[in-house]
Amino acid sequence: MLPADGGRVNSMPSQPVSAMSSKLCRQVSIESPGPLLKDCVFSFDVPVPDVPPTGARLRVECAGACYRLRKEVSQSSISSASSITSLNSLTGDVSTNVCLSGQGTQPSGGGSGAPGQSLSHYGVRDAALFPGYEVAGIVEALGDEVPLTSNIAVGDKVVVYPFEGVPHGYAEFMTVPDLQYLVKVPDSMPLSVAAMLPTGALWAMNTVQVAQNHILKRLEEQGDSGRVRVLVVGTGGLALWALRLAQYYLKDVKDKVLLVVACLRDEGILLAKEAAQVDVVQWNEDCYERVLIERTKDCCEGEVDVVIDFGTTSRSLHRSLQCLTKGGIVLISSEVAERLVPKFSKRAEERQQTIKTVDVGTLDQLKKLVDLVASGEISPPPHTVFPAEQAREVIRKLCNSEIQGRAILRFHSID
Amino acid sequence: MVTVSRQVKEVCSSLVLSDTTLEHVMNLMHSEISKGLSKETNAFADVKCFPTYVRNLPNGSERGKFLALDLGGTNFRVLLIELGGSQKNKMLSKIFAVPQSVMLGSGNSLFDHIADCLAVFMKEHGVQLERLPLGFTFSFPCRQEGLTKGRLVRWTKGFKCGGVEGEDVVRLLQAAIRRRGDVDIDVLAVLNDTTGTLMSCAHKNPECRVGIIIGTGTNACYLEKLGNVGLWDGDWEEPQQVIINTEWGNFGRNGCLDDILTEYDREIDEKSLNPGEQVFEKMISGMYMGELARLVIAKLTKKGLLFRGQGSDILYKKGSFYTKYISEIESDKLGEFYNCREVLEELCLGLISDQDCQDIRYICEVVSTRAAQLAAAGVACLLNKMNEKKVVVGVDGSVYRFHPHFHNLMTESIEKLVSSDIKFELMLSEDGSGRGAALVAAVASRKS
Repeated sequence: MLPADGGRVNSMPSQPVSAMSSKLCRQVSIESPGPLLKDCVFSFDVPVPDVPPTGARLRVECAGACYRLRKEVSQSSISSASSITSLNSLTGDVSTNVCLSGQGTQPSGGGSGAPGQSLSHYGVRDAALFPGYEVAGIVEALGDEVPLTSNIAVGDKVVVYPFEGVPHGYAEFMTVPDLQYLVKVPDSMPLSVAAMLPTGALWAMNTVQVAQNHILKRLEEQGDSGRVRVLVVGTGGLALWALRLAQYYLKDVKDKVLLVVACLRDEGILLAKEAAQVDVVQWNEDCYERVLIERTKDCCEGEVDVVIDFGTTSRSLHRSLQCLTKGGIVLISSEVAERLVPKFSKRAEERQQTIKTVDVGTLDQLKKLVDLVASGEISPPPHTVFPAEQAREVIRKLCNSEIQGRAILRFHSID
Repeated sequence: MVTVSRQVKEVCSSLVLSDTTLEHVMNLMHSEISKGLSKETNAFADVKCFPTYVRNLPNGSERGKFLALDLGGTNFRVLLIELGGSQKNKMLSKIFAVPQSVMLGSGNSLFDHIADCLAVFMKEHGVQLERLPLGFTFSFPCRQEGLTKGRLVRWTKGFKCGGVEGEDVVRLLQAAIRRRGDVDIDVLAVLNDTTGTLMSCAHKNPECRVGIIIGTGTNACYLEKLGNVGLWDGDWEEPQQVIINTEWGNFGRNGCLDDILTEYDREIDEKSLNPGEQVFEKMISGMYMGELARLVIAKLTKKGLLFRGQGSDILYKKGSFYTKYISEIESDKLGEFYNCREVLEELCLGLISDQDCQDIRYICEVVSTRAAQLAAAGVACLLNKMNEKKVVVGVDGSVYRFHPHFHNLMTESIEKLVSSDIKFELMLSEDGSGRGAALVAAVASRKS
């Protein structure tokens, strides 16, 4: 492959541009976990992408461990994987068959290939593992047509807004077609923290802001009687962000809001308590539903007004709805809405409850988020950094809720 | 309509008990209870039949404000109960979480946690400066030496705190409260949840003489004549009766039930926190029921008889088939499999046919039916032994409460085993551990 002209670059000292374009780099793709966990993480070499004229190429330093939204799978993108020259798995035990035919080798009608599959792994229910795309890195090259006055420069630390058309996995180098998708991150912010923002924190922020509207409305309606009760389900990374953001956005009315976290695992109790001013209700899965609902009502002094539930199971949504007061609202992720809402819309209607789906959030929200975290107004939840080579193991652990807080994959170390 | 597959029935056959077998179990239970009650044999008996020192059932005159603690069931609860009074039997309660780390930590940390929750509750309800009487429902096998003194014999149901076995749990509680120094209470009674269930039921229905629990664990208590209690060391004043806590969960420890134990029971026992103990309990209660079903399902899947042999990581993981799944699956209308499919999807199983669902339902039915029948054999044993013509049996426990057919299965089974001249009724006893504890404390304070 002849080296293309890679545009203006102040490349890393030992890598001339021409060498870059013909190089391969490692890509890790994380699909939504199916019945057999080992089958959802793939890695293979991909060519270092060319720099788009109006965009940039970055060296990915850290990536938040999320799985890829199934909706984005297209046949052409799967078959293009078969043209990769070398298909090495990171651990050497993935057969080439699996990579080449994509989802086809999964049992038909079930597993990770089926649309609307349940994603019932503990870690997914707990919001420890969720769909998204989170990249933090350093700008390595700018496109030819990028004006000199652009505020993004080579060497800048950035995060990538999860735009439509993000790559199917995390590779050491990635490109964005347009600079608008890059949000600068201050030097003081470690990239491992920045990598948590573009989906997890962003989604949580959007959800909390939607909840806030409802909460303020309720407060107005209620006047001085009682508090507005908010339940956050799970203590995985996503839920922990929601908790922090809720405490931030509701700080002016904190005496009038009762914030409760439903912990799906024991360690979660300690984790949630450290965030202070938060009550905790134990949602041991081995307890009967009615027991859990009773526990929740007991902890929340009655039915709750708002539930933030990033869990992906029918059970979770059903339970949330049963803890919810008449006229209350449940916020769920847009990824599961299609599958779950039809099951419960009638029931919700009968009790004048709303099931509202929340999307990831806007670019502006991401910018605001970076500012809030950089200034220290919001502190990030616990997180652990793992080498990207360990992706498969990390996903397995996340599915089993064995990692406290978020998991970040590191591709290089520069910080 | 799809019928259960022959091979599945075969694999489950060891779990189906005949009427003859159940009658045999009932008779075995009778002889084990006799061993427990008799002075000479109690030391070696498996069914210990501990006297509770509760002599009186409630008579309706009970009055006063009481605290109650309820540890050992599904929830750990602190309660404030007002008996009698203008708001008939008002009850305030709060559920507190008990993390696994506390369930398996030191005895001191457990009792410190209990005392902490008690203090939080008392402050929340403005009674932290009062020295209220308290009934402590402690649902583990205890040898009582009086109404306010009980030594833990052994931990069960997932608890295992060091430094408690053999100790007086009231003393440990009081020590923890003293360590805090901010609240104080007057412990008037330590009791078992079956006693609480019996007392609470008797408060509503004076014909109640038996209390049973079918929940996380299983146990029974009943009102026995003092003359039959070989170990009785108290007074012989009227009424000459005492509630006996059978601790029937441990029935079968000596191997007398080995003929009906299946490979699944043995595997559960081997991998439990207390191998060899609580044999009867492990065949009945909620802590194990789901796992029994899972072992059967996993075996059938590996043999290719379910889901075309395709299992999932979750299915093969111990403890992943919750007991509540059994209730949910058996709640489906016959021939429909909505709940069943939801459950199997939660287990990340992909290829689910109607035949699979029918077979899964059958497996659940077999497991829950056996549990109900064995519990029924125990109840029938007590009823036949007491030989009262009309008895109400107070029942509590999450398995009994939430399983759609358990009550009927038990009633049907008891009817077959009990003498024809005995009329009985199973009655759900509400708030036994809370209200029951207050009642025991009230009855105790009445005497003194």
